[in-house]
Amino acid sequence: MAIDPKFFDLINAEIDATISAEERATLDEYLAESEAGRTLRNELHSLCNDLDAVDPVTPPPHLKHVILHSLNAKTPVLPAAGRKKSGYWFNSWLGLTTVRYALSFGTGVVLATVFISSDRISRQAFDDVTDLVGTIAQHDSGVALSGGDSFQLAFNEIGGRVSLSMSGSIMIIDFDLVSAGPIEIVATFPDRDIWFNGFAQLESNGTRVTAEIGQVTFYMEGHNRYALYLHNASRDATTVTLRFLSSGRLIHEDELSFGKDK
Amino acid sequence: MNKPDDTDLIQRCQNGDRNAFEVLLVRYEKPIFNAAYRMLGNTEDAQDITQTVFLKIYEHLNDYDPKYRFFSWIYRIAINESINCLNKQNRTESLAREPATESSGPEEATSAGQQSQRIQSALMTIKQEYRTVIILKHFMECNYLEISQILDISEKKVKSRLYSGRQLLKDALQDTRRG
Repeated sequence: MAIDPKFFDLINAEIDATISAEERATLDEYLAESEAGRTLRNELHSLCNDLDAVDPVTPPPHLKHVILHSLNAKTPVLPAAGRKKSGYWFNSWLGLTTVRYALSFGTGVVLATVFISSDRISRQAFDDVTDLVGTIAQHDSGVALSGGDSFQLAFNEIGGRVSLSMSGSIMIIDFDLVSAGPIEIVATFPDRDIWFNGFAQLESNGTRVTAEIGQVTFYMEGHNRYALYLHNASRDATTVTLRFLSSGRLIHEDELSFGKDK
Repeated sequence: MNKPDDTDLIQRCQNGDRNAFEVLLVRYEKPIFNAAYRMLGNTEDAQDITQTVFLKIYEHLNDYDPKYRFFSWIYRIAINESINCLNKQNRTESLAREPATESSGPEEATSAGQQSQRIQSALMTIKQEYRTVIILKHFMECNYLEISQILDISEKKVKSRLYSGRQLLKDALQDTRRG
C-alpha cells in the first residue's frame, strides 16, 4: 500500500531527529493504524543504521606524499591578484595517473631526459650501450607495447606502481613512484642475454644510476617517473627482480615477468 | 595543546606556511578520499580526485570565503570534481545499470566489509544527485544546512533528495538481496 508522502517525510524527519513534538504525535497516530507505515519506518531506520555503521575507507599511505610532492611544482600561495597561473594546468594535469601514463609512452620522446653520463656506468655495461638517447626515443615513439606485468607498492616509505612492457626486443620497466625519503632500487636480471639499454625520467633532476652485468641500481626521492630499458635480444620469457631499500633496509621485493606465468 | 583550527591554518597557509597546509592535508585527506570513493566506487579515481582537490585548495586558498566552514568548501570541490570525473567517463548512467561487483572495493572480506561493499554497490546504482546527498549526510555527517551550502541548493531540496535517495537505496539493497 502506498504511503502518504506526508508520513514518508515525517518518518525521515524522525530519523534525522528534526521532527517536532506535534509532528511526532501525528506520526505516532498514523503508525498505530498503518502496518505498511510501520514496515517502512523499520526498513528506513535499519537502512540508516547500516549507513551510519559503515567504516571509512583508508586512503593508501603514499597518497599524502604524492600530494605533497605535487605541491612542490606549484606556485606558492599568493594574493589572488598577483598569483602567477602559468604552469598550474600542466602540473595538475601531469599529476593525474592516467595522464602520466599516456604522457610517458605517448609523448615521452619530447619529455624524457636521458641523464646518465658515461662515468656513472660501468664499462662492462656501457660497451653494449652506444646509443642511449636514440634507443629510448626509438622505443617511445608509438611502438606497440606488450607484456603488462605490474605490481603496486603501498608502504609508508614508498608507494606507487611499477609495470613491465615489451616493445620489440626492449623491455621497458615503468616506475611511477613517490617516496618519503631516499630509496635505493635494485633491478636484477639473471639472464645473461639481457643487458641494460637505457634510463629515462620525465623531469631532469639528476639521479645516480649504476649498471653492471645482470644488475641496475638507481635512487629516488620524492615523486619520480622513471623508465628502465633492458635489451632482451632473444625475447625469451624472463623475470626481473626488483628490490626497494631504505637506508639499506629492504622494504619490498617483487618480480616482473615477461612471457611466463608468475 | 589545542589543535589549531582551520581558520588559523588557512591564514598560516596564506602567509606561505607549508607545514600548515600539511596539517590541513592530514586532517582532511581521509574524508575527501572517502567522499570521492563513495561517489565514484573505486580507489584509483578516488586517489586522483583527492590529489586534484588538494592541488586546487592550494592554488585557490585565497578564494576561500571565510563566511563558510572550510570543510564545506573543500567538500564542495571534492563533490564537483567527482561529478566531473563521472561525467567525463560517461559512467553515471552506465554504472547505474551495471551489476554490482563484490570485489572492486578496498573493503576487507569481513561481514562488516561485505555489508559495506553491498551498500557501495547499491549506492552506485542510484542517480548521482541522490547519491551525493546520502554520502554527505551519512558518511560525511553533514546536516541539512551544510549540505545545502556544499551543493548550493535549498534545504528543502536537500530533504527531498535525501528522502527519495533513501527510498531508492533501500529498494536497490532489497533487489541485491533478492539476487
